[in-house]
Amino acid sequence: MRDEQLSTRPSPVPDPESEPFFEAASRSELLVRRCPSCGVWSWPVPRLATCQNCLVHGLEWAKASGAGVVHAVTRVHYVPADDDASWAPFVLGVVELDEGAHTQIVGLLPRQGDVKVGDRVRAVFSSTRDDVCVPWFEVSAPGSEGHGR
Amino acid sequence: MSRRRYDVSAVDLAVEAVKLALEDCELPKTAIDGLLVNGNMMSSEVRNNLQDALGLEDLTFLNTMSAGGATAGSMVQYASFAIEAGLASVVALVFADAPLRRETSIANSRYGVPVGPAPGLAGLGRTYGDRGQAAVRYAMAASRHMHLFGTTSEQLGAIAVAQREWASLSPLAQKRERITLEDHQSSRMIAEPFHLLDCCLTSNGAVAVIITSADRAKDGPRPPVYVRGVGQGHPGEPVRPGRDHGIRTGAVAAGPQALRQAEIGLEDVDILEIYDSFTYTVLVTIEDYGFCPKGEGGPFVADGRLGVGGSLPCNTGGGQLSGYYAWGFTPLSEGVMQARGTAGERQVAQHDHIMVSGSGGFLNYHSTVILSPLEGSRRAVAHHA
Repeated sequence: MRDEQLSTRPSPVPDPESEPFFEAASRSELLVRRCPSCGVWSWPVPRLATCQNCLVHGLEWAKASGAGVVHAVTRVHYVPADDDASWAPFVLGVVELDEGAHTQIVGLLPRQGDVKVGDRVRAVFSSTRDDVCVPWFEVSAPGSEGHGR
Repeated sequence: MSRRRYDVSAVDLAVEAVKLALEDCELPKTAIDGLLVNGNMMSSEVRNNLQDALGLEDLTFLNTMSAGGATAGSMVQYASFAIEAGLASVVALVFADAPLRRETSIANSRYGVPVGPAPGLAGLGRTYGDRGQAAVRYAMAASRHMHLFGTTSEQLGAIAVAQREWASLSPLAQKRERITLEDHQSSRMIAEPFHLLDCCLTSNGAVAVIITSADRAKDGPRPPVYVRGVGQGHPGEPVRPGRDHGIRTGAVAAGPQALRQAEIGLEDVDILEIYDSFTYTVLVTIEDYGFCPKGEGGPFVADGRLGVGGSLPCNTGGGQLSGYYAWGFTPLSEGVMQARGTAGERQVAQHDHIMVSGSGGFLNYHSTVILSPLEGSRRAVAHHA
């Protein structure tokens, strides 16, 4: 997809470590990390190829479904850098992927109204300013109302 | 800390704080044989220069410590151990920072965030709009708390209102004009659910705390403040599989450790000085210490008990929301003043046991200190803010 608003965002600059991630995104596939030893999934972190669970070195890329649940979310109104001011408000969150990994802070698409903790989301892919494809998350089904634990 | 000061370096501010602290306890600078410096946004500047700026040549105990806002409590613990072990006899703990610049916004201060493209996976955050802003991380924790327990923005606002009440009584506070819940609700949105008045200040300033043995402190000109207990608890990064983002903090581990050492229970705590990067940090820390069950922090803080005249005075100098932002040294220094009974108009009458928290990273790190004017250990603190 090509989203007009997202296409103004600054681009990450793929490097050898991240090249497979961005290349897969251009094919609308979400790659995350999986430990070849214990099988635990994790969101890719720069310069970290060791499993946080079993401490085995050599995390591998693995294709994730892209589906998950919003674990935490905020709509950001104040942006501490002038070049981002036109984006606000925008939505950031942490997604618990169905494979078990928690994403780092990722962008969520706010167009469908409020994004809430517990909403089901799926990965969608959109190009940035310099045509680097990046995964975003959009609500696929609203979650149940909160306060129940 | 009460006036905005620009054009003064963090090192100069640090030296001034140490000088005032030494005058306060009537010690010459040559008495200092231990120095612990709080890592900060400009940690290398202060760390590399403070010893020489103070002209100290005979240190036997020196380090920089970095656990964000939890550092102050950890420093109190390490300094106490060093004194007990005979490694040092008088240790200065110092925080200093000068992020604010004249005629520019806080966004352009030295706490401002990096702009421009970044290579590889690190660049993803810039695309999304995540520049490591603390407000985003804590707002997400608060959003989850709201989802799980029904906590409201008005309940968070009650914390801000109570702390401003205290600040109105403190000459050290940057913000002294009283606010109402309506003011909180109508202040501009930063990152939902946080309004501006949920967020801490930014300050140029320094705090120094002098720690020595109880025996030596008794010979000083001021009544000693005793370190009755210190605990640490560090759960690490909140964004991890299986972790409930920002719902349980290191206070769960650190609080009971500190209370056990002090041989007191929560019911003995007269005053709370809780690290307040945001209103939510106060709420979650109070829950994690066990003052109320997990999830009930919202109603607990909303009834006015934290404010002036309340049953659980909290952040009696206005904290970092309304007082001044000196990382963990804000609650620590206010705790020392309350323990001494020298907090002036804002002094709490009953001040036997003061529970001081520090929190660092994005709820990654935590420390707890119990201060008291009553002797119960062999260690003591003398201090100046």
